[in-house]
Amino acid sequence: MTKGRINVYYVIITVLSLAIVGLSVGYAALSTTLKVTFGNVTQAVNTWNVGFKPGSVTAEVGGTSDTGRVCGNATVTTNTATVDAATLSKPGDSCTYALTIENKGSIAANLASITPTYPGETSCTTSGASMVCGNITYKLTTDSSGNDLLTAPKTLAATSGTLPIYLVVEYTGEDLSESASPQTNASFTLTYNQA
Amino acid sequence: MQRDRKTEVYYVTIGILVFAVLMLGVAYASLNSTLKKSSAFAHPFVATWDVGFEPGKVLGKSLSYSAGNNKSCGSIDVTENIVSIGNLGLNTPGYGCSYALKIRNRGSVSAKIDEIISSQPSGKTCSVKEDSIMTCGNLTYKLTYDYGGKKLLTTGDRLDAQIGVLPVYLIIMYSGSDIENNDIQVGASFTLIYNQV
Repeated sequence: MTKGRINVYYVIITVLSLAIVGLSVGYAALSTTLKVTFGNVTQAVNTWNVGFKPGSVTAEVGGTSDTGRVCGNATVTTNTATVDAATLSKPGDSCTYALTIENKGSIAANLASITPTYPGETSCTTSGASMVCGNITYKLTTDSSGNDLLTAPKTLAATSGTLPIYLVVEYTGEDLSESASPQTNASFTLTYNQA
Repeated sequence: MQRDRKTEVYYVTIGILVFAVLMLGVAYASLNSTLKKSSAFAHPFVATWDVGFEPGKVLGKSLSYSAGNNKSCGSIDVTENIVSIGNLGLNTPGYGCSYALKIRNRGSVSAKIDEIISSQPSGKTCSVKEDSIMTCGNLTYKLTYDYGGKKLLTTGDRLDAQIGVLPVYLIIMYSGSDIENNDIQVGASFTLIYNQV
C-alpha cells in the first residue's frame, strides 16, 4: 500500500471521528440544570412580651367646671397603669388617660378578656369595657370618641404590634347636694393570650 | 493479489466509523422527522431546546396557621437557571413561605427530569423523600406542582415541548415543635436536571 493511500485513510478516519464526536456532542447537549438555593434560615426561640408602654401620662381634662376638678397623673409600668387621685365636681367632668399596649415578643397575642373590679363597697353595672358606679363611669375605649375597647381588633401582631387605648373616668350622674363618698380601687384587668 | 493486512484494518475501521455516523444521523433525523410530521409547514423544522425558569421577581407568600404571625417572606429574583432565596426567619411552628416559580419549555423538544439532587444545609442531617422533599430538624423544604404542597416533583416527570410555562412551588415550612435554642440552617438546595425525552 502506498504512502499516499495511507494518508487518505488517515484523513477519512479523522474526519469520520470528528463527525461522530460532533454528532454526539450535539445530541448530548440537550440538557438543562436548574438550581434553587436557600440562604440563612433562622429559627429564633419564641418570646412572650406583651404589656403597657411604660411612662407617666398626664390626663386630658374634660367638662365645664373650673374648680373642684382634679385629674391626677397615671404612672404606667409594663403590667400596671395606676391613676393618682382624681376629683370630679360636676356632671360632664372627665379625666382621660392615653395608654399604649405593645407586643414586643415573637408571638402574636389576642385580647382574651377585660374584667372590671368595682370600687370598694360600691355596686356597679357593667357593659362591654365600661362600668357605671353611682355617678361615675369608668371605661376603656379604643379612641378619643369613646368607642368601647372591645370593638377594636383583638389581635396584637408579633414583634411590633401596638394598640392605643384610653382610660376614661367621667362624672355621668346627676348633680349632688353634698359630696359623695370617694370611690377607691376601681380597676380593669386585661388578659392577653397567645394568638 | 492478497490484500495488505493494514489495508483491511483501515477498511474495517472506516466501516465502523461510517456505521456509527449513520446511526447517529438516523437518530438525529428521526428527531427531525418527528418534528416534521407535527409541523404545519412544509419547510424543514429545526429542533430547539428552551427549558429553564421563567425569569422575573417572585413575591413570597406567607403560610401561617396563626393570625398575626404573618411575617414577610420577601421576594426573590429568578434567572433562567438559578433561584436564590435570601435570608429568612421562621420562628413559629406551622409558619412557612411559598414561592410560585415557573418552569418553561418553549422549545420543540420534550424534556423530562432525569435527576433531582437535594443538598442538605451545612452541618445538618436531613431525611429526604423522593428527592424533592427534605426535612432537616424543624424545617421542611419541598418542590411541588401545587400550592398545597402535596404533589411533589419526581424523577421522570415530563415537560412537554411547547407547553409554555408550568407552575412549580418552592415551599419551606417550620414543621417541627418549639425550640429551646436559636438555630440557623444555611445553604439547603435542590438541583433539577432536565434532559430531552
